[in-house]
Amino acid sequence: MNIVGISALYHESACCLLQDGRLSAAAMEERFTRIKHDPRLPVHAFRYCLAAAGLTIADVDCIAWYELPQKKLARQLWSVGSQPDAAETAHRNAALPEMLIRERLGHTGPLLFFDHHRSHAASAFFYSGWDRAAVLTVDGVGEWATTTYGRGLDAALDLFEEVRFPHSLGLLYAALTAYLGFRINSDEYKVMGLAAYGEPRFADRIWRLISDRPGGQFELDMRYFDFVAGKSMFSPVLADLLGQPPRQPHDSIESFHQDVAASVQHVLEALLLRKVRYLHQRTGERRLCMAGGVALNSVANGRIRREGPFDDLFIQPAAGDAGGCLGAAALAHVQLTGRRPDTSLTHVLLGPQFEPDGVARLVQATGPAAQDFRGRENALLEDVVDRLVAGQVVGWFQGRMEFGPRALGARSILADPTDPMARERINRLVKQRELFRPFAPSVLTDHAAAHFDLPHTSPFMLETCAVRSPLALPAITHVDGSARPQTVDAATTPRFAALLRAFYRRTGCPMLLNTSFNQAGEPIVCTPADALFCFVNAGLDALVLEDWLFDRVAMPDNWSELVAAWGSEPPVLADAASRSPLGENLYTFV
Amino acid sequence: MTTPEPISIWQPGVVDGRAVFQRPGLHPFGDHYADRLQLNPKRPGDPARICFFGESAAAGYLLARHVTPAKALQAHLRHLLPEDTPDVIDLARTNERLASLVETVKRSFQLSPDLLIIYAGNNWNLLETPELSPYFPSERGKQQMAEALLAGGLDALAELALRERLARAWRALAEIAEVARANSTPVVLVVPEVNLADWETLQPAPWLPGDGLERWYALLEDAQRSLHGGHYAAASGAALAMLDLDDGVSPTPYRLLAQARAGQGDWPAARAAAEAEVVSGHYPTMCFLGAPQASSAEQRLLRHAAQIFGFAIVDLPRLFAGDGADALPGRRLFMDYCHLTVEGVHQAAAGMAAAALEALRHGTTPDVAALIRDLPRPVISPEHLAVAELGAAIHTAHRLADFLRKDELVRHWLERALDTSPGIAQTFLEVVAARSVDLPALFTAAQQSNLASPYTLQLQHGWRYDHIDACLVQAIIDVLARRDPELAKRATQSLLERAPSSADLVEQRTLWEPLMQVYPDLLPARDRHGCAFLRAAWPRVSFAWIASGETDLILDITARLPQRVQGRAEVFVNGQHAGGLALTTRWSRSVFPIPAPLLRSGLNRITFQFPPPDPRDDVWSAVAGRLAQGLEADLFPVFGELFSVRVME
Repeated sequence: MNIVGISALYHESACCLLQDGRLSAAAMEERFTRIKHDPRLPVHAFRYCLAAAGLTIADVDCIAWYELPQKKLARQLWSVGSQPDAAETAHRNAALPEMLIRERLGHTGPLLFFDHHRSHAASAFFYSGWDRAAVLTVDGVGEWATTTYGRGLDAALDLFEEVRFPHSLGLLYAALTAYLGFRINSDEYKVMGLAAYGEPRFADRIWRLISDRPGGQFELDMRYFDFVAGKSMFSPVLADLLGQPPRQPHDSIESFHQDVAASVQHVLEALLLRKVRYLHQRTGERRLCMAGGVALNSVANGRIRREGPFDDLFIQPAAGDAGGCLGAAALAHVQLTGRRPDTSLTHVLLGPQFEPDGVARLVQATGPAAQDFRGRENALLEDVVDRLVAGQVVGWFQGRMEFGPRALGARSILADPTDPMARERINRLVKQRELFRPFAPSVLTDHAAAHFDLPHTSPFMLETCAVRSPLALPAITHVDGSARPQTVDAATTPRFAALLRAFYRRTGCPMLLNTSFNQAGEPIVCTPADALFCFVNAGLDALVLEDWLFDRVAMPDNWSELVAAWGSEPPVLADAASRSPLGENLYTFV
Repeated sequence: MTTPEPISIWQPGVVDGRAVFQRPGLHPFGDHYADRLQLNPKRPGDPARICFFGESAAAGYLLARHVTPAKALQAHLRHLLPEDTPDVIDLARTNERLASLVETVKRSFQLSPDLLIIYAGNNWNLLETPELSPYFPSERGKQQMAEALLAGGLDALAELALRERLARAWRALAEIAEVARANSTPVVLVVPEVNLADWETLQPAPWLPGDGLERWYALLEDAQRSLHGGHYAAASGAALAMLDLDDGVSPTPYRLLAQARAGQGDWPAARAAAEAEVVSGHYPTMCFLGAPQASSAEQRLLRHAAQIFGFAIVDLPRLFAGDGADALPGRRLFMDYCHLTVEGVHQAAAGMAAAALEALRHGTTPDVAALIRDLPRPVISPEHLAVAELGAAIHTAHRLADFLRKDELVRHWLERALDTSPGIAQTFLEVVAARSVDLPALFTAAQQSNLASPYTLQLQHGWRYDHIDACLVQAIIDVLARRDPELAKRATQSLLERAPSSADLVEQRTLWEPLMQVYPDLLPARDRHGCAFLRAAWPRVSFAWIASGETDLILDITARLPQRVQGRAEVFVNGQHAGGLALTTRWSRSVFPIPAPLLRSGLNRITFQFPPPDPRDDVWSAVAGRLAQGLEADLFPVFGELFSVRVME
């Protein structure tokens, strides 16, 4: 039974493949199209998932879609009231998903649709490896639900309570994200990072935006918001309440903004903790599964783990909408077979990989730019350790690409976490991002407890905890003394684990700074060519591409200039009418 | 004083206390703009100024920056007015559109021009009316199309697009006239001419009633066969029969007719057919890539605008016909569909020089024919010319469908490049090396080698294209084999060294003809994100595969016939029949062996030939129905669909 799960047409789109209940491939479309958060039908991801399993469209038994389009349309129409945006009408077409699947993917077989939050819930419970657990999903909005509470038991998933739009924790956080001058559905994690610098002195005011209600319920005070029918996330009343106008994207970040961020983060955590306790009380379960975009708030997750009533916590690593495809596929499997999928998400290495011969051909076509370490893994690792110890920043490209937002040792940028300059250098040069944002460490599992308040594994980098290391770890320790570690073991990522071990042998430090292999505004790299572009553009000192190593010093002198020229589209006058919808390579007309 | 505004890519700035406009620096792959780094506002005592605008033909595509129409005009004026030479400011750019043309003209008045010369019209094609496409995300546009289709069929649809396109062009010219009049600045319009002799537009037929489709493609084969055999009357008959079937909405029969009439020596009829081909090439389906060429409709519009708005005119169709050297304008004047050769640039610039002298009131109008004869030709080094000629070969391989003479034209430009500068043979090898690996050329050793040579290829020469362009690679090997077999061997070796041992051929890179993709499937519109499989809008579709030729191949094929209940697709390898596949409307997957004797060492052409779709008589009401709902709709039939063709050696 080959079931394809798809989530698309709102946030980042993605596709996965369940083969007889086993998850064999999953990928986000943005990695192929190189358009960050690409929401379009995941054509490339679909082709990849099938090819990775040696299948084609002729082998697909069912496609599962992560939402109920008609139900979502009802909410959308309710939201826009009598003033629909004409440009959006095509998007508000409940028949669109099925039409695209039939006409653009070519699927003629069964097509199943599942509720958005049910897909989130299934993506957490059915991939947790647990036969029973409480389930909590929290995001901006699906069809009508914004938060759901449930229980999973074997193949059954019972969502017994929901909070309905417009009352939404995700939209509360998004509104404050917009108020603070960041992009919604994208930059919420910046607010979370900024929060550590502030004091929650506005928490009382934020509590005026949201009222806790009995059970799992809460309500937003809609006077402060404008997302239902308006063009903005928040109303002017919010600015009045907080006492300052909204921050514009290029304005400097003041202590006021830090304090607002701390306040909304504080309220989110407090409310989530209350609701998690409620869920525990309702279900009596020992374990909690979570998904939905808000479940990517790693600071809140850390508190739920430490202060919540549950013994164990599983957060689906692609907890945002991309991960909805996993849940839809699992629900289809249950519906078609009566059994739950036989899969436990112990890693997310589900994306494309590149065969050694193919990589060798590409690298050899570059001429003498790379060093060949084929058959000499130890030498490669020692060379990389030399570089990291010397303060270099290294691009690391190995094996199958990760699914979800985190780089976990397959498409990573690495540095020495003890280097006081590493964080500033990567933030400024490589990532071109705000200096307040922290970096995360990847640590050998058997050493994690010696450096972090982390009495369990954390393979997906989804929870923060206190740093309690005997080492000074300035590059990965946030201003509040926390970190967001990934625990690494040799069974999942053998070469990455071997690198950490080699670094530990040399330095006594069993971890590395690990950030995603991309520059600001672009998705994580997927192919060797993407990695080369990022290596050159980001000013990395070295790139390890499978068994090959590119050294910045040894690369052709003109690569930086060539890459800059290659990537630049011809500039045009800034009038919309003159913009072509076509890429340069199509060159429809000249 | 008003705040200075950018003029095209030239940004306002201050140098030594003086307001200026500066462009970004030149980069190694070139860009689409003139290379003058700084434009200065005019000061008393400065010579007269001519601001020059236009599209890629005006920007000297392929020859830039060594020879451009603006530089040739400047040189001609220097020759004619050595004491008081006007300054030609080149604001032409590749990919110019109507909106940005008008904007650039308006802003150019910050430079106080004494004369405007506008050489545009090739780009006034369907992309100026994108909403009139069954694929563009405009519900209103689709509904307009539905109304036209129901009222008058495809003719009415073509008429709607033509009318709208010309209306937009007219509005742009009227705006330019208004601003020129307000500044008392004369305007010269250059009416573009296009390559009518060599450039061929091959497009599939739209849906035709009954067995029309099958007959249309049978006639196409007849006509091609007749032309190759020199049977021009028969070819002409077949072409006319095709026109009867499709009512002239496809440019393809017109091209066949032009070739047949030319073969019969009836040049006026050949010209009329070739012009009709260009008009029809603007067929508003937005389904297939076409070349930008000004049609006779745009030419007439420009002439009429000149009359109404009081513009002077340089009429290239008449000027190029003046010396009687060509029965139809062709490769002597054009490097491809509309971009000029050095000779073409020279003649056009001579015409513009004459118009400029008259507009700036420097005595009587010179005789253009005498200027063409007497003025020195633009000078270009053999290396730069050879690069432009190689660029023409690359461009032709990528942009022209394999119809009647593509291979001959590609080989012509390769041979010309080698004749011009034999050292460019090494660059041929660099092109093969770069195209044979699925990696952006800039990272290749071939790139470094090319940059270090006197034959540096730029974006305009197609260096960046990520397609294998098998026709080009094969032509390079063949041309080298005749001149230097050792080099040809190295080119083949270079292919084989980088060849993957397995791949899925249903990728853009490996399609033998880049043009044989359904164009909207490539559009990056929001909801319209490509297609997961290849839709063959042609009876035949070919792929390139690099093989050693020593071992068998296995093809793992997933295909279907979307518009035919059942049928058989035939598979050919390098023109030899290799077997067939029974297909239906449902996807089926089959393993297809190809024995080594059918293969050769190097490039191999694997072709699928699909049967015609089942006849449909209700197709336009169905299409109109979808368009009326704001949904996209195909105006052409799909012969076969390939989800994957996985090759294992």
